[in-house]
Amino acid sequence: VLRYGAFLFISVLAAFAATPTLAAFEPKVSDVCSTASSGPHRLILDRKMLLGQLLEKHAGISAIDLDKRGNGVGPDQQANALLDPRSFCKFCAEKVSDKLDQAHTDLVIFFQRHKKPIDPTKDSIDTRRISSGPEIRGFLLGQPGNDVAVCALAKSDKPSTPSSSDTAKPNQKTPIVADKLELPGYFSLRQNIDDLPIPQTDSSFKGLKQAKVSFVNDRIASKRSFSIDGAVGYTIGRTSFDEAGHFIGQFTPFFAYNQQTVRTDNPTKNTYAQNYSFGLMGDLTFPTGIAGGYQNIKVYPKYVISARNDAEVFSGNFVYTPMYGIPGIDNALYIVPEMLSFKFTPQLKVVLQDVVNAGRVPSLLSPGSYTWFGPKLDLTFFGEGILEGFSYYVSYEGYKIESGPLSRISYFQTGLGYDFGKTKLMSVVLTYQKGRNLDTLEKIDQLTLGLGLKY
Amino acid sequence: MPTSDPTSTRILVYNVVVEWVGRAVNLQPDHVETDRTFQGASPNGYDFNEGRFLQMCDQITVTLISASGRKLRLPGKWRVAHEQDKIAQFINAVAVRLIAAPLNNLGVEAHAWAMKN
Repeated sequence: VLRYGAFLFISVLAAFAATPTLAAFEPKVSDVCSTASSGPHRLILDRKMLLGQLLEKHAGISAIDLDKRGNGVGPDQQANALLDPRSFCKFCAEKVSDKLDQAHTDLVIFFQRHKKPIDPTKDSIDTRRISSGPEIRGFLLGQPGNDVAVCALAKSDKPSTPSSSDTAKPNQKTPIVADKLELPGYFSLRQNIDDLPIPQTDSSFKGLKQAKVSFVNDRIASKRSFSIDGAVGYTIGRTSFDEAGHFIGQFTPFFAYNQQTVRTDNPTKNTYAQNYSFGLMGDLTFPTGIAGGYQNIKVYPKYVISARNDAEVFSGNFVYTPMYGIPGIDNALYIVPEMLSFKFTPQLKVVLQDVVNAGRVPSLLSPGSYTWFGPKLDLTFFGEGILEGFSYYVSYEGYKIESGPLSRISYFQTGLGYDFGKTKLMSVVLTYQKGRNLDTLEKIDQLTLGLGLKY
Repeated sequence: MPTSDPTSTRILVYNVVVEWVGRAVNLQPDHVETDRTFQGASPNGYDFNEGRFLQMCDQITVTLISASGRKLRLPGKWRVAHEQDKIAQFINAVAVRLIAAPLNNLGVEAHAWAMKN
């Protein structure tokens, strides 16, 4: 059973690993190469086929986009449009120039990536003789002697790998952004403070909870409740706070109001809570001044006032992330090229809480303050190629506590996961946690095997 | 000679960017996947943090100015707009700015020398 299980697992793994990685513009050899006039067995890159694939299939630019009068365009006009969109586009559809710019870049990348000898084991193209600007220009314009990019189909009968042009969406425009320094901002109203910086244009906006006012009358339990939960904020950014682009961040000053009133037939069970809070959440990336490095500080100070008993609590989270330009820390670093990479993220975290005023009526709060500070370390390995879908991470947070019953707390977590397929609809995760839950301070020592499924 | 041809400019920007990214992530430049983003997690991106992206912008600007003879600037608002780009989109955006950038003193001299000869 184990042998068959292992065989099945390896087969599934191999099937997923064989799924090709989609490239920006990587057409099939058979779609862009044709037989040369110099010999029936010689395949060369065909500029008409290449332009057609690039503009129509990859960039989504059809003839009517290049000439909206409907006169049609030939390969020479396609080449001119690609090489100098601003001069060509007198009758182009709107925003086609931006698409042509990106298509031009994608074509250059294609020529640069294929600047290598033919590989007889796979379908390949050798563009070494048309790799400079004038050579590419000459090729696109069909100037004599352009049959210099050689193509080859693999010797085996295996089908060609699907190209990105079959599935890739037309490229998005890349607008030229004005240099003028502006501070973009927007108001937001949500139920939770954490959701305030998420703009309406973000894909996760639909899932956010709305601010609410509600009244519930439970006639069986003889209970009536009224509640208000809302937070309002003004988000500035994400933007650059200097013209040169060295100070980039986002800040959201906010105000939140929560009220809950419960009335029952038994007055001793009536409850009432009313809290105001205000604060700031945001982060800023800015230079260290040493060796061109950067650093980021996230802040989340909050002041809460209870209108019911006048209690006042200040709390705050501050996270410092160094971004000194070290490979493996500030970006993923490959240990095995195109198979295994890792990233290590060190952070310093400070958590503050200060009960400024315990309030008029007895409560769980007692005046005083505490501070947690310590490192948060995270190491993640990513698999790709034959290891695609695998990930392994290990993280540790350890805090020294100034005052309080505990002097030190820590939380350790490690996990191995595997996502099935490109769409990652199913995953298996094995996780081990030890230490204390950082919210409830409960002790944890547990091993979890989970199966995730989404559709 | 300062670059003026859009195709040659794109070749220059492509080579400078993939060389920089390749060195950062320990890959050969021609193995850098230009359909990945800088900031996305692997395998969709190279997991750059914001500081690393800004550092790359700073350093490729210097390289491109000396190689092209043009006063290239990648200002703050532009950087924020292109942080989430795929590498191919970023290369295109830099190339478009480089083509539009005026010549610097060295570029003007090189251009004059080339015209004379």
